[in-house]
Amino acid sequence: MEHIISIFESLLTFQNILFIIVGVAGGALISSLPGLTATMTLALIIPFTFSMNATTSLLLLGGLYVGAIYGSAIPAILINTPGNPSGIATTFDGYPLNKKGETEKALMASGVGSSTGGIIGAIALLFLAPLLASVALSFGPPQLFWITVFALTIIGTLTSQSQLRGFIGGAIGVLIGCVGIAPIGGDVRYTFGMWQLQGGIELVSALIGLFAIPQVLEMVKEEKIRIGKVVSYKHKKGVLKEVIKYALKRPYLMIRSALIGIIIGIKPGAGGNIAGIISYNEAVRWSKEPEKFGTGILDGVLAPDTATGSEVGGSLIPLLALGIPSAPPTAVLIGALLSHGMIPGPELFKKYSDIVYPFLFGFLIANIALFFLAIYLPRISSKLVNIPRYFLIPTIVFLCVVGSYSIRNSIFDVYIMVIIGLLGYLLKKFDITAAPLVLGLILGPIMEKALIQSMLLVKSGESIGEVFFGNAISIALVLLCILALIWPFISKKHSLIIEEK
Amino acid sequence: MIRDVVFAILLIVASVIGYIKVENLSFTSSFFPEMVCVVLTTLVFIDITLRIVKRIIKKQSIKKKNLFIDLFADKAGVAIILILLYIVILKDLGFIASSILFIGLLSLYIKKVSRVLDILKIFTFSFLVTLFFYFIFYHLFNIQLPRGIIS
Repeated sequence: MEHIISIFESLLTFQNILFIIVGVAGGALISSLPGLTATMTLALIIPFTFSMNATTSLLLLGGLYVGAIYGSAIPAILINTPGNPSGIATTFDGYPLNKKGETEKALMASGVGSSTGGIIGAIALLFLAPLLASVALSFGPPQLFWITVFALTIIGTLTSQSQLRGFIGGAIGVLIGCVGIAPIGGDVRYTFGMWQLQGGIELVSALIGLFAIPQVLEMVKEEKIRIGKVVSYKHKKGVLKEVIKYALKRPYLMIRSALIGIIIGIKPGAGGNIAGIISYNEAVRWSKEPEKFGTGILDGVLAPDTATGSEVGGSLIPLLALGIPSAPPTAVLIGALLSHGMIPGPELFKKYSDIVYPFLFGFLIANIALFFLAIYLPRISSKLVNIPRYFLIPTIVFLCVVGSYSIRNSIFDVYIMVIIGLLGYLLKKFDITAAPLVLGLILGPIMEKALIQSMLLVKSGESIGEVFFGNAISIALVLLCILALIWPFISKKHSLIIEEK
Repeated sequence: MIRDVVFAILLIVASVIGYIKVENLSFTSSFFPEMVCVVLTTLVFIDITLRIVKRIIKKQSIKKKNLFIDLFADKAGVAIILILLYIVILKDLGFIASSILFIGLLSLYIKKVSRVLDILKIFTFSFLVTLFFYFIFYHLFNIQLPRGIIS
């Protein structure tokens, strides 16, 4: 009981609540600009949080993550272009609703879906993350090694069009992660005489570069000066009530979508876009009137947005419990945790319970706040959609430079950010996306430490088989790795059906 | 296709260099990067072999393209040069001057304006954005941004 009181004491301060609300609103507004993904939004804002205390910083970023995923649905409804991939499925019925003159209804349904999904996702996070962390505490180095192999395998599989290219991206990321002092051996590697590299590649700089620079360069190539056209809609009374009543009459749709989102969120590599599409697909499959989907019905907005909302909470479960980011935005959150000296993983709940639990409850508050903010945010977003690209693009690059500089007051981090960003842009041309690279970069050092510790056990006399396969968890993880490798071949038919939809 | 082959060769060369660079270190420091280099080389080799075989089976001709032009000589190429110039002059020219110049020039390039009024508008915007963030970082977060020779 005392513990719960202390959690709420440190959470419920004016500053924390303010930052949660600012985070949700800011995330939704920034992310409603097409091209500005949730990951980029988080990467750009991270440097602003360094001077804050860890709890406030995490609450702000958590709020931003919630808001950014919701924000992508606004332009999806208004201009048929999602702010980021999470909003893809919202365009299927959201835009037709807008065309029918039911814009506000669609926007309210998006808000209700996102916040309901988010609240269910937050509850799942609150219960599952500590549970998984307590199980993971019993993991030794070999099991940790297999977990990282599994995460890299599944991410390589899911994030690139070519599975092999995804793995190559992961391997490049792991190799970049080897720069600096070896975690166990202590030797200096790949620094090429630059002392600044001894501590390794600055993670937040690399994240800013990888998630922002390639995206910005792609935006430069687009011909349109403005992202969208002037959008306005008339506010009508009672629309929210109507939407809430409609959602309450569909409990199965909402719960099913939220569960899909949580499961997809936990699964490494599958982000909000996949959660939204699968949930939409299931809504069509279970509906009594499947032919109405795509013509502009509320179910077609509620289903994907509930799933993307709950996916956020789901994606935080492996991050906090195992230290494994299952989606690109959570990779950025790892940077935030590390910048406050917190190493994500099972120990987090033991060592930093005074920060983690307020964050979990704060995350729940962020989703409740989203419900209320979603009534007003679309009206502001509809104006932001009109910001011309020639103002937006240079400002993003400028923020990347200032942000990476401010991490350690070092111009070297700016160079790293730009070099890694250009590398990311180049690799994207070869179908290697940022996600496996970042995952490799983050998981590489964890994997190395676990592998070398396991190898030392082998050297001390235990057999390789005993160390790496002598445990039921290890064998289960190896089987999961094999399943992840062959999964694309098994599910090819299934994916084709989803893509067609 | 030539692009893919060059890419594969570059990655294999990088892996070989990566392997050699750590070869003489202790086992605990060298084992993991060596293993990653071997895995990377193997993956690249399989990838390029499969792509070549696919080409041969489909009997597609190999299009000759200038690798550099294909990768960088589009609208993004100029933006890349401007970004590189920005970070090169940042330290010497200082944060405020270099940022105003960078934001202004990149905006001008994207919008393609020639009217004096538009140019003025763009540089006013870049001036205001730079000052706004300078104020936030310098006064609110206490971060000393590079002041350069102007200061």
